[in-house]
Amino acid sequence: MREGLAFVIDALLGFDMKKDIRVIASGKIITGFHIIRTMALGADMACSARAMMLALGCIQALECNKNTCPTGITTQNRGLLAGLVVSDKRVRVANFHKETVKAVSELLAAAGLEATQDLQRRDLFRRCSMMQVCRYDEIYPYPETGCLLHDDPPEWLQRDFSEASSSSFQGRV
Amino acid sequence: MEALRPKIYQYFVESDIDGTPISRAFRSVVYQRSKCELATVPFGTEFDVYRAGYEWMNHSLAARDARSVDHDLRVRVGSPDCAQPYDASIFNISAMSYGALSKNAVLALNGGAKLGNFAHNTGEGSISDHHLKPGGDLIWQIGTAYFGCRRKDGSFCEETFAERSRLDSVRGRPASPLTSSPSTAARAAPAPPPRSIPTRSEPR
Repeated sequence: MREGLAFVIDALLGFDMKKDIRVIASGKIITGFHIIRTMALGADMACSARAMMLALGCIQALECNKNTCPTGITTQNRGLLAGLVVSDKRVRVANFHKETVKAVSELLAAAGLEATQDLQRRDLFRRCSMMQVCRYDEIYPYPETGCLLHDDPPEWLQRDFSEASSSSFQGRV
Repeated sequence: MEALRPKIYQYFVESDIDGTPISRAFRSVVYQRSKCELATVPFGTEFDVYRAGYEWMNHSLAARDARSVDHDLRVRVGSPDCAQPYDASIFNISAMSYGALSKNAVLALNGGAKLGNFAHNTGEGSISDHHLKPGGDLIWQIGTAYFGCRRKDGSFCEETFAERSRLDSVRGRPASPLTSSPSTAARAAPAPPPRSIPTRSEPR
């Protein structure tokens, strides 16, 4: 998801459209740090499916594909889904959301920031080897805003930019 | 024994950080936060911070008081010309269809969205009665339009789209990557059949 998200943001920045478009990222977002990471890459909002299922009481029984979910989440079996008490679990979902957003606020405060909109790629780091730590803007450099409007893609967008057309991302050149 | 293996593995063998798809350490955080229990760990992190791939954000020398940062972080969706802009929470429920999820799961998710004032993505299964009953905000996933706003011949139905979009709960309408955006789709007549854009051939 991270490469895809960086690509979407880069393309929007390249066409100078990011200012008009909100990007929602989703993909194994569980903790406050995961939200921070997508927003540092450039997303505006985050969504989570599996973490919300865990908040509903999912025990990761790995039976979602069998209609036998023991927690009544991924099943249409009346006996099993009766085990999911809506009035209890909706509070769990709301609690999980609130506590996670609070964790984001605490991380922002620790980084000296005020809002998720303040996050930039330079705020994150990744260990690339025992010997080296990379800053996120080295791994995912920003393109110059509007560069794609005057046919001047950065090196990492050149191939995709030259192959894409209005009808396909895999045009034949 | 084959049937028991995953359970034995999960309960007795795997460590806090190597379970998949979601490790015990992360599952515990969700369980604890959803019950408002203590969600911190003692004696330092369980993760190997010298492993390639470990990621973090640095602490600032000029940190803020956490109480001074808004605990209900929101983002405005909708341009200045938009008649009904939406101040979305930064964290919402991702797409999971009714059908894949049970009735009670959808009711509880949307009920949670209502309590916490955040949005619930319907998934490609579109809007069911269970999505509407609790009254939480919805992001209507149109996807391939197979469910929700599709004519019998498989093309995009502008009328249903307009009608369902006017529901109070519906706050956003993303299209899946396989279709054109709703605004483009609404203008195109007839809309392209689902999956007309070639999908990637390599495994994902």
